[in-house]
Formats: sequence, C-alpha cells, structure tokens
Amino acid sequence: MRALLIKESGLLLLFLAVGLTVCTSLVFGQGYRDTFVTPENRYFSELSLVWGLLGLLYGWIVGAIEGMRGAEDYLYHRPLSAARIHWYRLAWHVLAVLAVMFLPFVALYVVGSSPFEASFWEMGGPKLAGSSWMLASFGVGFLGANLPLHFAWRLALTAFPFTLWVLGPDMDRGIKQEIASSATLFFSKNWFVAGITLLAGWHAFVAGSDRDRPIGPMLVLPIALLLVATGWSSHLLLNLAAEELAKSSRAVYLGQSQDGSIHPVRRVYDTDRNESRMYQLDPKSHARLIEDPSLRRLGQWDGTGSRIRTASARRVSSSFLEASPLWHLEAFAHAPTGFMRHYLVSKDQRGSVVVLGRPEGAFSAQAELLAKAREPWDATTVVGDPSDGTIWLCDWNDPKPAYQQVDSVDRFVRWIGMYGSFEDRVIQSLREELGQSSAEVPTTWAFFQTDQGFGWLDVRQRRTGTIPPETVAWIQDEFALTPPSGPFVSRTNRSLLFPAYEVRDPQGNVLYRYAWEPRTRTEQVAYAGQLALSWWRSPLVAPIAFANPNSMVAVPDGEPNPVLPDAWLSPRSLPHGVVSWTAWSLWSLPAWGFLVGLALVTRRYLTGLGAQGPRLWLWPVAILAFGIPAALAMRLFETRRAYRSPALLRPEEVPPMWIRSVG
Amino acid sequence: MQHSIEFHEVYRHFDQHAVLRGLNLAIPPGQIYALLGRNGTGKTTAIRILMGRLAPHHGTTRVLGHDSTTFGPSERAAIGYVTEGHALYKELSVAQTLSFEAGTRPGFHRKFAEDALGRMGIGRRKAVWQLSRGQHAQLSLIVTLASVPQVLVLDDPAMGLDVVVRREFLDAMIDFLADKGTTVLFSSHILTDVERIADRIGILHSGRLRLDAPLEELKSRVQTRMWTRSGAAAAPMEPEILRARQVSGGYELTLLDVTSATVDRLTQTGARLSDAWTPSLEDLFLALTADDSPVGWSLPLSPPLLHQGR
Repeated sequence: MRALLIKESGLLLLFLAVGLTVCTSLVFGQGYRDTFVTPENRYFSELSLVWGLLGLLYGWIVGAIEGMRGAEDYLYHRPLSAARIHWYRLAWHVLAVLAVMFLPFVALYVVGSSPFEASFWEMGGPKLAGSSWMLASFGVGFLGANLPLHFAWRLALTAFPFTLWVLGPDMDRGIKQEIASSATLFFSKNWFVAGITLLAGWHAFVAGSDRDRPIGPMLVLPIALLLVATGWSSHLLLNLAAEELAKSSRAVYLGQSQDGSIHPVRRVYDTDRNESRMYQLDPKSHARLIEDPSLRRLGQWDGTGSRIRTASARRVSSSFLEASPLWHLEAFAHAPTGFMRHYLVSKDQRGSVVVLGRPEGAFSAQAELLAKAREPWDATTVVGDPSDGTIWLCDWNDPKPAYQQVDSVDRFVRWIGMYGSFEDRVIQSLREELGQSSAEVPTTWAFFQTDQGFGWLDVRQRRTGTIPPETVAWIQDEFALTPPSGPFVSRTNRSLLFPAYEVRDPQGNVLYRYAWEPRTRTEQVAYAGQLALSWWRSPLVAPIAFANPNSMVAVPDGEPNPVLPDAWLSPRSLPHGVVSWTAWSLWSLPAWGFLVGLALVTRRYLTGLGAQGPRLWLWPVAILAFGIPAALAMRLFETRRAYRSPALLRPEEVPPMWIRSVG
Repeated sequence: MQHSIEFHEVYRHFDQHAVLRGLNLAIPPGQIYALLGRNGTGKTTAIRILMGRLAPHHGTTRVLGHDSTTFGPSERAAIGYVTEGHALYKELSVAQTLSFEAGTRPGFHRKFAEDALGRMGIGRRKAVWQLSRGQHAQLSLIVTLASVPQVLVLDDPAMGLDVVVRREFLDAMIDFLADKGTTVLFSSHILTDVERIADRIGILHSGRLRLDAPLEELKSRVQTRMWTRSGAAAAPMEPEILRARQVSGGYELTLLDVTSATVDRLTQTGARLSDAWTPSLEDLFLALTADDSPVGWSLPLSPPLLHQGR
C-alpha cells in the first residue's frame, strides 16, 4: 500500500542506507573473508555481528516504534483492518531486509570479481544462505517487540539470543558449520523461523500489550515459541558449558617424564614463538608446576590388544590453523558442490577467496584434501578424488593457479598422512627402503592408501610411487597393531562425569592412577553450569538428541573410539550417545520428578488465581514438556494483576453519583 | 432513543489500582460532551476502552450501537479519534500526511482538508515537526474531521497548548462542527474551554461519574453563598452543601438545589447568608473533586447527598 510506504519511508530509507552500506562493504571489502571463509572462529564473524544484529535491531524497531512514539492508536484507528495495516507495513520492511540481503551479492556479481567467475553460483549459495540469518533475526526482533510484557522484559528477551551469540563464539561457529553442511537447509530454516516469528509477532500484536488481562488464545503461539527458543538457547548454553569443560579436560593428559615418572600434563602453545611447551600439573589443583620438555604423552589402550594410538602417530587434522594467528594459504573442501575454496592471505594481510574445481568441473563429493603439516608448506594444495582414484595438485605460485592431475600407478583411496605426522623411525625406515640419503629432508612427502596397498607422493617433484609391501607393516604398526611396548593409559571406570584412568606397564602393573575432576575455577563453573542447565532445559531435549545421530558424540563402549584421545574426558558424552543413554535416563528421573511436582504446584497456583478452562491443564503440560522455562513463562504471564476481578471491588468502595441531570 | 456513545458498568484496573469502577454514561446524537476529571482519574482509559484500544475488565462500551471490542473498518470509519498529544508522524510533511490519510481512509475528503489548511495558514510543504504546537493540533483535528465522522472523540485536545493556541484550536473545532450534528466526546481539565463549547459535562472522579448534567442546568441548580456567624464556628452540615471552604470571616458554601428550607436551616442559629451567585465551572469542579486538596476543605460524603438529584 503506497500510503503506508510514505509513512514508513523514513525508517526504510535509514535501514537501507545503513544496511546496504555495511553489507556491501563487507561483501566487497576485506571483512568479507571473516564472514564464511575462515572456519576457525578466530574472529567474531559478521554473520552474527552484522546480519544478526542488524536484523534483530531492525525487527525490534519495526515492532516497537509505534508504541514507543505513542502513535499506535493513531495508526490503527482507521477504516482498514488492523491486519491489513500490519501486514502491508511489515511487507515493506521485509522487502527492505531482502534488499539488504541480496543486493550486495547482485552487485558483486554484476561488478565482477575474478575469484568468483568460476563458480559464483556454486559458492555464492552458502553466502546467500547465510544472509538469510538477517531475515530470521528480523522475525525474532519483531516478535520480541510485540510480546505482551513490560518494555524491559521485551527488550531483555529480544536481546537474549544475541547475547548468546556474543558470549558463545562456538554458536557462531556452529551456525557456520550448519551453513557449510547444507546451505539450502540453513536457508530454508531461516525462512521458516522468519515466517513463524512474524506470524507469532502478529498474534502477539493482536492480543495487545495489555498486561492486566489474562493471556488470550492469540498468545499461545508466541508463548510456545518463547518456550521453544528458551529450550533451544539453554541447550546451546549447555553445549557451551560442555565445550568449556571439554576444552579444559582435553588440555590435560597423562605424560611420562624422561626419568620415568608419570604426571598429568598440559601442553601450552606459545603463539609468539610458534612452539608448544609441556608442563607438569599438580594432580590436585591442575596448577602448573614445572616446564618439562621431556614429557611424552602416553597413548591409550583398552587392554584388549586390538589397537593402540599414540599422539605422535595421530594424523594432523584439518584444523591445523589452531592457535596460529595467520597462515598464507588455507583450503576448504566443499563437499556439496565439489569445489575447493581457497583462502589466501597476502603479505599485506588482505584476504581473498578463490574457488577451484577440476579443470573439467567439480571434484566428487568424496574428494579429500590433504591436510598439511605444522610448518607452512609450499604454496601447494593436494586433493585426492577416490571416485576415479586421481590425485590433483595446485601450485599457488603459478600466476593462473589450477588443479593439475598427478600420474599415479594405483588408484587413490584415502590419505594416510605426510611427513611430520609420523615418528622419525617410520620416516627413516621408509627413506631407507626407498634408497634415499638421510641428508635429504623429505618434508614434501605424503602417503596414501591405494586400491593395491599404499603409495607415496612427492609434492615438490610431482611424482608418486608405491610403498614396498615390507614397509607397510611399519605404517600399520603405528595405527592398529600390537600391544604397547611402554606404559599405556587405560580407563578404569565408566563414569561419564568423572572418568578414572590408570597407567600400566606392558606387563600390566599399575604405575599411576588418575581420576579427572573439575579442578580449576573455570572447570568448576562450567561443570556447575552444565548441571544447572541440564535441569533448566526442556526434558524433551534428551530424547530428541538421542534420536538425532548428528547430535551425538560417540562414547567408547568396548572398542576404543578413533577420536578417543581427544574426547576421552569430554562431558559432551553426558547428554548424548548410546552408552550415556542409560545414565542419562537415570539422571533425568529426579528432574522429571521435580517437574511433576512443579506442575502440581502450578495447577494449584492457577486455581488460586481463578484461572479456568484449558489453561488449568495447558500450563502443567507445558511445564512437563518444556521444564523450568515454562514455569517461569507461566509466572510471567499469569499474574495476580491479570486476574484481579471487578468483583473484588467491594460495593461500598464504589462512590455513587453526586449530581445527575433532572432534565 | 439510541445513544451515540454508551458506557455501561465499565470497570478497569491497572495492577492494584482501580481506575474505572462502574462507569455509566450515555451521550445522545449531536451532543458535545465534556468529560472532566483530575489527572489520573481515568479519562484516557475510558476513551481508549470506548475506541476499542483497551479492553474493559467488566461492562461494555458502544459507539453508534456497536460494541467497542468488535469494531471493524466500517465502525471505525464513522468515528474520528484525536489521540492524546495529537499523534501524527513528525517526519512527514503536511502534504505527505494528507496523502497518508487519504490512502488509508477511503472516505477522506482531501479538498476539505486542503481548504482547512489554507484557512489555518498551515503550509503544505512544511514537515510536521516544523509546525507550531497549535498548528500541529489543528492539523490533527483537520485530518480527523476530513473523514466526516459521525462521532468525534478527542482525548484532552488542549493538553500542552497555551491559551492562545487553545483558543485557535477550539475556534477551529467550533468552525468545523457547526451545524454538522456530530456527536463529540472530549476530555479536558481546562474548564474555560469546556464552558465555551460543551452542551453537557461529566466529572469523573474515583472511578465513576460524580456529575452528569447539562451546563445550563448546573448553573440553575448550583449556587454559591457566603455563610458567616459571629465567633468561632464550625462549618455547617447540611445535605445541600457540596463544599464549604473556609475564608476570612466564615465559609464559602457551594450549594446544590437550594430551597427556602435550606436557607432557613442555615440562618436559624444567627448566622448570615449572603446573596447567591452562580459559581464558575471551576468552582464547581473544585467542589466536587477537591476533597483532598490542601487548600480547600470539603464535606465528607454523606449518604443523603449522594442521591441528590436522582
């Protein structure tokens, strides 16, 4: 409606000017790299700070502005339905949000940017999907502004999600991972969230902001959304506490000093000197005692003789950027499209993105990027594509970098690792087998599994070869073979909260016992927070998490888990996983008992207020389903003031008429 | 006769504070009704309930026979509503305001509005925030009246306006409403304005009407006299006394429906009663609502007086 456009024009123009300026500068400028390209959460991304905050603020302003300037009565007292005014008004603002979301990308496409020429649409998808975050935030802000609560409450409830993003950078990363896993799903989810929150905002608006009346049926949807959002955010907070705890616990492991003594150990990475330092820890307080460079991390073995893993044989994961402030080259596989994203940082620290596939098109979805060693490698990335067994190299010193195939005798199956990932004795053995001199430093070797056995790749020389069968035993030894020759760690209990370990020698004699507990202030706060939040969040989350395999973290049960060395103390296993299910069920029992009690008290409270009909059983059911947040929401909305009946005004309190016309 | 505006046993509270406690009021078509009351007595609450912007806890309100809680576009089309503070969008120009109104009110008479603006000397290119307070109020009234409402409701239209601007605003209102037959309900606490334009007044106090009568009738029924008696004397206690204000040498009595018997009772103990004069509306307002005023003194509510005039 044009008339409403006139009225909204001031706000619309302001938002368009700010939004387009900020978002366009992000898309075109240096800051763009932090939006999606950097997977490590070293920066707080624009995803939350700009798109999230901008959307949330704008939604809040659109929802609250008429009330704030006292123009609601003026606006809605018209010979038009309030719904029509509302929806037309909203339509203009949603269009503005969409413009800010899409126009910078359109401009980028039109103006042209060479890195995007190859596959703008393939790689533009995730970014466009990410921009939909603004629309969802807009809906949340709009709903928050329309809730029938005191202004401060509305502000607090709306600010809550954003505060979570700010306080929890892991959530930011989680969102980015979600985009990376399925941009379409993320896009759809945001549109769904926007739709449902705008609808709920409308319901709340129609119900009005009258706090002195019991809530009406129109508010059911906003309240339900509020509960779901609270449950969702508390679940995120729970994971945040768990992550913090896991981070602390992962940093502590058992190590052996040169003199044979065994200690809890923490490795501290010195980013300035680009090296790690090993410290002995006090087992009681986890306080650092002394630096001990000779400390060697002990591997874990479950004692069944099936496998052992040691820290030194661990493949370097793709998160090699960890703790490194700046690297020259990083590449990311993007499985859904089969293109590789390469994030380049020049010496002047300006970032840019290049998207490449195979010369004839995309890699297969199974294509695997070779993870690199700690040291900055040659500017070369290597991709193996098991779909046709090919290996591809891209040299970034080339003015026109492109992937080129490397001839290989056998078909590539998977990467095993590269020099730097293996103990020296493995490399030395291999070197001898290949007849190379010890003076040669084979820093550019990579190893891979083939359909026939194992192969090696000399990245610098661009040649491949087959590893002699007799050498293979050495490699396999490191991954999955014999019982340990030295002390090893085994777990002695199945406690999910307080795992206990002991160190044994190969003959089975116990050398050292250790039980992990939260020791430091941070660990204790995170632990207490996790326990509190596991009570606070909806009881429905546990079965949902159980039913959703993606949300689970594998917990060892008999067979040691490949991720065990990193996750052996992870408290994430508490709410997730098959093994933890039994324990979790037991843990839930007192929580459910508490909620049943709370539901009964609620019913009694509502009866006392004078509530009638469905609300007498709806709230108790909501409490059983959503837990403590539902009880708080009930208390927030079902107040004594809302039920204060005129009948409570005694007749003698009511002053009668003094003068009435006799005419 | 169907009334244009009706309140029937309307109750409304905010938290523990009861604002309306059984408000009953009926305004016939064509009448200009002034709803008076001190600050916080519920004038705005009553009007917002009438406009369907606030729900009553008990009772009903109707405009032109339609329940306020179920107003639709057609009902709202017949009602002009000038909100407290003359809400307009300040960032718009006067011309844009007219366009906005014309686009959202199908029955909007743009020519009427433009003519009226011309008469008031309000430039169309000016932004609303650039208008003086008086012009702002006039613009608000003009855009409301340009829809030719059958019922006009104004919530404290003189609030914040100085005496000159108020006069301009009222003149404009009188000018526009002349011979239109529009029913008007307006709230105010500026009594001189009320005396100029109202046919009938109601005084809202303690949650319900304390007075509901035509202005002329009030003038004929209410009078003020000086009551003096030698020596220290307590104030007289008679049911006809609305207020007894202590002044030098005696009391100034505001009296309702005085008869010769009343005069006899007041003078029988040797006291003297001066000739009567008609109190101003302000005096009457004070008599009815200043029971807790530090400068005045009034009789406590006594049952016989409560039913006076029924």
